[in-house]
Amino acid sequence: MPDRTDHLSSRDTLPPRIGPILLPEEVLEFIQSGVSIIVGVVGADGHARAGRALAARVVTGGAIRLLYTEDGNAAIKASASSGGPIAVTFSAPMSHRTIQLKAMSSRAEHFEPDDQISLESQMDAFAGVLRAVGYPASFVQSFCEGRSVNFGALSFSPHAAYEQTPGPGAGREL
Amino acid sequence: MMGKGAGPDDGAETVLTLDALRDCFEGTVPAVLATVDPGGMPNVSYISQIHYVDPGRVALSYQFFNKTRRNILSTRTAAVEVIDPLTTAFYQLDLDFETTESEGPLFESMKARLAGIASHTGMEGVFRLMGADIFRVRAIRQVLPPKVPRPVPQVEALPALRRVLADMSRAATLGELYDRTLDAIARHLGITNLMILVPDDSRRALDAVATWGYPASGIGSEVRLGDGVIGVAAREKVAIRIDHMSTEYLYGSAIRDRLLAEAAPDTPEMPGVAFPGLRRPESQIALPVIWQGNLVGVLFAESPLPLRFMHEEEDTLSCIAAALAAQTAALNVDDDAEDLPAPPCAANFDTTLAIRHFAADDSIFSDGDYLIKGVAGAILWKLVRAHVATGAFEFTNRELRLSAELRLPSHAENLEARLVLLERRLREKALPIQIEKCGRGRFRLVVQATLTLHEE
Repeated sequence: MPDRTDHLSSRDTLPPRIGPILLPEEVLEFIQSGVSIIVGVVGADGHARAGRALAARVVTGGAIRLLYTEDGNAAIKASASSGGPIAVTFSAPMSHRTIQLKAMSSRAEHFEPDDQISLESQMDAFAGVLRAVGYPASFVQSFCEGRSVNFGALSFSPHAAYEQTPGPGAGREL
Repeated sequence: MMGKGAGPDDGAETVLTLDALRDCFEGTVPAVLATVDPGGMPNVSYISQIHYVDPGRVALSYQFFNKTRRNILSTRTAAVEVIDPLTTAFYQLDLDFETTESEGPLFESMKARLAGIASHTGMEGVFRLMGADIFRVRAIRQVLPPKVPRPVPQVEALPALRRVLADMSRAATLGELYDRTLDAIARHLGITNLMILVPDDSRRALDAVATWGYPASGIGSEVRLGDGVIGVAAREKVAIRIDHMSTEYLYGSAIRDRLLAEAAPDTPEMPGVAFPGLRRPESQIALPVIWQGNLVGVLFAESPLPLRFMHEEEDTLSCIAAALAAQTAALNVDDDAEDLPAPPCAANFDTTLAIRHFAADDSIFSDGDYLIKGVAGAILWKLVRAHVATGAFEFTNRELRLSAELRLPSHAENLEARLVLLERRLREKALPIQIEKCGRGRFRLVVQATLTLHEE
């Protein structure tokens, strides 16, 4: 997976947006289709923290609910609890299509029954992709299934979105 | 670097070292890299490659000047999450940026492995290493414990290494050392496509002097300094490993074609021996054999399987390369000081052998067939001229070392290696002229034909 999955520095010169943006329907479908989801937050010490999420769910008003295992993701949970900023990158291993969303703040949420439905269907889809890419079945099973029974949820409304798919359009703001 | 296996979030306390996490850095599962900008906004991306530098540091591949890069330069910190592909344990590393290297051994080692990753992920020609960003590891946390037990290795490296070194120590000559080394690696480590190559500084090339596991021996085949994993390992004096073969590093027909194109136009035949390597290797590793700072050889292994050589194999083969260097030096000690026998009267033979020498590259052809070139070719030319002129048939390493025309490198280890190469090429070609050792630091030319010499 390329490390170009973030936006080019020239984009960094744009003034930060104040309000949330509306993402195209096609992008919303993509991020809920069972893709790889990685997360960046800021710890209490001001340093970055990396983590992974399992699924995403778009709710009314354009907010995105991010579903993750609480085990191993203490930094994500703590950041959401304090309303911290968040960066989330969605990537499809087969096509390399990659999108990064950023929000000035996030919010801890209760894990809901509808979250469970989204999580299961997206994890199944992602496991299928991993198998198709060539990961051994034993790894896919271990990576995707039964890692935790403690699921967490957070929500955020992206203020910026970047196309990060390798190629001429990498870095383009959506 | 040491850290806690589990922080307050996770319960059990295990002391972690970076050494214990090296399987996470094989590139099997993409790692996550998080940074933060001076305004406090995080950024997250995949990182193609995390490279183990030493027990306290890792290097990340820098490929694009993007937001990640900008954040690293401004805040000088980063965090990564890696997964052990064998146990699916998750680890997080907190990193402090130190410096960027854009050339040299570490850079080349990462560049080769990145090429393999690019090849494997369909990014060949897209990935290009601009620098190796070196970070000190401030903290290590295990955030999810192993879910499956680590598989039992088919070969336990340390006892296997012990057996290899024991086999090597029984060698009485350099040629025997080469053969025993490869035989022992195949026998005890189960790696069955192997070569030892020795450098010829005058040609900026290496020649295969011992091989194992190929249909043709390929002894005398050439690799240019800087070509493929062997050539880069020799040039940079660093282990070069590739887990998924990349055309950029494949020492195949393209390089062979270039060598032919560069050959002198009046060269009568193909000026070399075909490289014996696997047609479709997936994994390759080359270890420099270094003695007192000088390159005295390259130990090379390859496999048709991807991910065949990981950190443990690299460690094991590096130890073998170190032992090879020391034993090579030990077998190159003082010459025999005894007087040489007086040359006998010239013998008459029914057969003749035409030996042709091309001064441009010291290549030697016998009855029109390519035999050898470079320093080994120059040595043979000197020997046969002495033999034809005076009947001399015994020689010492010492007189070769002192010979100005041979332009031998200052480090003497290489001379014995050239003689082994020459001896093996003569034997393979079954010529009526052979070389055999007749004492420490001395050897005999066995001639059973009337030689005619032609200088070109």
